[in-house]
Amino acid sequence: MTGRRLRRGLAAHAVLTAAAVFAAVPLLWLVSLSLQEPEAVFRYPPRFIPDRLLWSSYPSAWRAQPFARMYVNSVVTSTLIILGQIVTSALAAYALTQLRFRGRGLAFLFIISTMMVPIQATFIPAYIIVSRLHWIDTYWALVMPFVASGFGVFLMRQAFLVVPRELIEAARIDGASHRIILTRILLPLARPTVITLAALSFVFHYNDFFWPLIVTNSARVRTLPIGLATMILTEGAHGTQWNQVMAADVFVIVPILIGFVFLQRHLTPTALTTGVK
Amino acid sequence: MVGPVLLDVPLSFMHYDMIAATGRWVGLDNYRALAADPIFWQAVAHTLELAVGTAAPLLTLAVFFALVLNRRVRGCGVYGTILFAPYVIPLVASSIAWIWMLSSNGFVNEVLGLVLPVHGVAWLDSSAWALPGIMLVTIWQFVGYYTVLVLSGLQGIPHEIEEAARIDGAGELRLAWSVTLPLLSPTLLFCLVVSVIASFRVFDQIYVMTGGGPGTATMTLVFYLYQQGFAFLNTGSGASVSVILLAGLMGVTWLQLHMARRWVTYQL
Repeated sequence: MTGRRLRRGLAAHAVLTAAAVFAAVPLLWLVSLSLQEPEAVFRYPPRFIPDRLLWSSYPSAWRAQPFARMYVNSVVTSTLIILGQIVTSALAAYALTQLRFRGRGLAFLFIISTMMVPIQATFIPAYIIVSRLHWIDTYWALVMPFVASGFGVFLMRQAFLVVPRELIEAARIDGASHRIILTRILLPLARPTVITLAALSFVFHYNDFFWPLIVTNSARVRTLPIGLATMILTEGAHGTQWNQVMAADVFVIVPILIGFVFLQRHLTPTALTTGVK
Repeated sequence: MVGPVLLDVPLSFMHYDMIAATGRWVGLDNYRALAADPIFWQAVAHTLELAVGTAAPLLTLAVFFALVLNRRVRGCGVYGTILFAPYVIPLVASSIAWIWMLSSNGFVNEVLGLVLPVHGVAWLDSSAWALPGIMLVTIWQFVGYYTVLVLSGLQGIPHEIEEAARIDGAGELRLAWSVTLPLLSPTLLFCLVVSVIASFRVFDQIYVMTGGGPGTATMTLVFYLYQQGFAFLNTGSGASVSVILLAGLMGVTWLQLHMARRWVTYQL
């Protein structure tokens, strides 16, 4: 019996190791290329371990685009979006779970149906609205369209629904207002969901590309993914410096990977089982 | 910010000047122009190919990995973390890495060369292989995400049912096929719907890796929308592509939910 279990255990490890290698190789290749000479990408056969480490690509990449500014833009806009989504989602979920009003079911149906819309189908009208408001090339354009999220409302509603009714009733009898019930009872109990919403939303907006690409045109407000894409599309006198592109790629990826590793313990799997938008 | 999608409908019947912010009604002109554009039809075909070519492998791999992870071998937490990691990386960054995974001297060809007697092509320069290349980076990015989804579905299956089947003498394969998969089917339906929606939204990979090319080999509806609406400033035409994208996706989603009655089992 132990022999069979051992074999099955080994097979499982073999499969999982293959999967982990599949996930890791492109990232390791990226790091390796960032430390080799620019022409290394064309070498045949490819060389995985560099002969000698050329760290100079990192400072050059940092200067090639205003990356410091772009870090600030990415982090500030993503954070503002998260804060907005937590507030709007909590208020909407409160109404949907604690208040009785005509059309409540319909309102919820409408909110979750927004999760199925391919976001790019909204971009042309949204662009017209944003440009009429003179928000093009400002933080407003990057943040305001995203401060309400159907996905956020959905998650928060799920979390509020499992809070026992008796708890809310008791608070109400003690004279607690809506504001107190929301901020002192429901939100603290929904903490894991709030963290998950914040994390997923941060990943989505830190990584977002299409919308920031069309509503920004100066480095003042542009975000990291745009900086990366600009590096490959603008060739210098010597063509694209691939080692610098790879180095920039590494320093855009590393912070979010570190954040993920530290935060993943706090993410609730149930919240992950719903698509993000 | 989904409300504005409704404005696509009137805009799709207009010639709209984005800069002057004025438009005039032109009836079905935008739609007629689309129907007459062979590139539009290629974009439709590529969008559907991309949906099948990403959703099917993603779900198959996710079920396979989740079944293995669910055995709880030592270190499965670490494996899960590594497999999920690509999901948090900006797609623009992944796409840059994959440009050189898929080059003629790249890693994918090196690995293929070990098992098959092939001389690798430069995937992204080949009109036959560029779209599969886009599928590959998409699968790499999202396989961990769907594995986590399937895994949490698996963990929701009560142990008693599988135990009972085992006592009745069901082997491992039989158990997986006749008990676990049917009980997992609601999760699989969810993953299918979400992954198809996600495949319709693919943009970053195409922008960075191929720009819709070579030729129009990786032109999809969303990339066509980008070109019409934002590169060529044909706002009305872009709006009509948006309407088609939305209607098409609603149709595809409805079809999946409709067919689901045949294969999804809900527990009593």
